Amino acid sequence: MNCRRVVNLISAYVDGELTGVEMLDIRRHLGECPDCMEEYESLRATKMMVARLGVIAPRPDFAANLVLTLNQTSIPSHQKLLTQIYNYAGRKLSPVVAALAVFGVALALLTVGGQDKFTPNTDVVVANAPLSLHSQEISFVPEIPDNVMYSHSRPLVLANESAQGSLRFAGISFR
Amino acid sequence: MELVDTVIEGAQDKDRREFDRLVERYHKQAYNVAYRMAGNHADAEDLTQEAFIRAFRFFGQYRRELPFDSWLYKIMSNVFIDRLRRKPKAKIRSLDQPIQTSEGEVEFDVADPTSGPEDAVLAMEVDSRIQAALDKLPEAFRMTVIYADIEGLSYEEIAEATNTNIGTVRSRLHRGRRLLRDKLKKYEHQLI
Repeated sequence: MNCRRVVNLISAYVDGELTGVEMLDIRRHLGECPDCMEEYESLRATKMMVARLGVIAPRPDFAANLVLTLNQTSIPSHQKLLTQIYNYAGRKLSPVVAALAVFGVALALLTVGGQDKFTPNTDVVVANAPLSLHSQEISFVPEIPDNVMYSHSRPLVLANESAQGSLRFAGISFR
Repeated sequence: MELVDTVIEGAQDKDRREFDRLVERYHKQAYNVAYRMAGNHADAEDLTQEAFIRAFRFFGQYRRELPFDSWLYKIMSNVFIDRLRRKPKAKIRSLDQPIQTSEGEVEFDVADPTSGPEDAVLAMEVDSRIQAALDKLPEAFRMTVIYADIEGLSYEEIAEATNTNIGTVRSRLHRGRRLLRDKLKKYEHQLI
């Protein structure tokens, strides 16, 4: 194991978070390399400094005040519902599926809650179609010269792309 | 219908009593971690309180086979990151950085701990220097160092608490400790 690799793993070595083989390799390297040993000692000392920090206590009434705050904390009904779904799905299915189920329901709630009424503004022009069928949808009718004949075996639909980028088809066959 | 309501209310009361016991048991430990993350009492109180309130709201989803403190730390990490995103960036001054005054540059004056007559004063000074160095670490590194070195969590537990993977924990911890070491090098002889 070279020095670069050892230096990268040295913090994990200090924490004992390596495999047995890696721990032994690093220990062997440290015995032979003063530079890496110095790095190890300094990082171990840093860890010890942080570990020896005093415990900071809260105010004596902190827990009591926290409980009082919790008394005033209400759990929204939609959250109770999500919790029930999570627990039900968790019992019947896996935790992952339960989380997905909750996510799906939450998404549905957000979608319904945040959805605006939306009427697509589509400009649909159907050649030779009875105007009465689509009078509410047609906002623009081009002038078609009398001498132009349209003959198609498939429905002929001239449609403009709407502002939302979707394409509307009237779904009526013309011959 | 009344029976159903009574059963639900009974379950909620039971949960609430259990949660109050957990508050009593874990609030000091959580506060200590919050203080080390936030660096001051006011923010530590807010952080601890918000973490417990969120935990309370989601207590129905808490899986009892997991240690409560690990679950609480996961919530606390999220609260901490959320608050940082909302908070305007504080200007952090390095202890080594000279201060610009009308009379030119002067060094930031830090009390010399060796002049303090009491051991307690010395310990407080050492503590505050390490805390100041912690405050200067990037937040993700700071959280990781605190969970590893103060709380003694394993890399796997830290990964769970900070919503990341073990490789990232290993990297953050290594880089965090090296930064911390460099910041404290000047005071090494006093700190060790």
